[in-house]
Amino acid sequence: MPWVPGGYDESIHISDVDFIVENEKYEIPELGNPDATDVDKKK
Amino acid sequence: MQLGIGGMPNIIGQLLMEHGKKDLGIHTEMFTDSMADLIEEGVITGRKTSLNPGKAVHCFAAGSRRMYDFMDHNTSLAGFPVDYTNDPYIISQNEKQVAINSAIAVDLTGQVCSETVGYRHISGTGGQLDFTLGAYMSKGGKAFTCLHSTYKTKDGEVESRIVPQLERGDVVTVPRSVTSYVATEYGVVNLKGKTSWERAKLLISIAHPDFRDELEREAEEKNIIPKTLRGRKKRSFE
Repeated sequence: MPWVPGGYDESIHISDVDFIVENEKYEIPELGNPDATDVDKKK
Repeated sequence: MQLGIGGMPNIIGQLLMEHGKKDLGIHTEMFTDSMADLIEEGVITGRKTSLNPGKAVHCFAAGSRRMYDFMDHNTSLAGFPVDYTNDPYIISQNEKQVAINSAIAVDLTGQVCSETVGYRHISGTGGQLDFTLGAYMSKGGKAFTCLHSTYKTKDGEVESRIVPQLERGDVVTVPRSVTSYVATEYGVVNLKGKTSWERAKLLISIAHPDFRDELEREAEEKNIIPKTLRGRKKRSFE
């Protein structure tokens, strides 16, 4: 997981955390990036 | 600039690079791969952004491994809670905020459906209404609803995405009072400040040519275009 700087409220204080689930098995989900079609490029 | 979810952000990103745009800024809900590319290419710098200069303001991100690596410890990004990024009054504090979101269907009154096909759920409501409103309120801002003029059904039939009226079960994502610019591959129209029949005419003008006559007929039958104005369209709108 990337560590991303915040504007505000980007961190959760440990007092607000009930459980931590550690994971080494599953990769972070990725989203596909379809290319532009000819219809998309038409003006 | 704000881009919605789907294939469209990547298309806009590619086109912005090809057209040599410079010094754009980001205030968006979702951070996308194309935004990472645009920051790397120097197209997005946030240098001229009025609200949070130098920062790509976003609420969440979803994309490729490459994008996640780009984001890691990157001080050109700033993540905010959604009640900040999606507050139309906050959005409108960015001058020239441009919102670009896609849709499933638009009806002749200007109602935009981006969530369902009838009762079939496709997507959540997301920030489309927030950003359409916020960009409209922004000084020099513009909000675009973009869609292909047609789609193919699973039986191979071509149907228009610009429809006389939304179907039963279709969810109104943006009400007609908020919709401003609507774009298809046949052009861009601005519905703001227009009367009901003007909106219908403008939307018909960017529908696929094969459907324009049918839409016009339906608009007349449903009295969206009043009797007194029929037949005058071609002179004033083409």
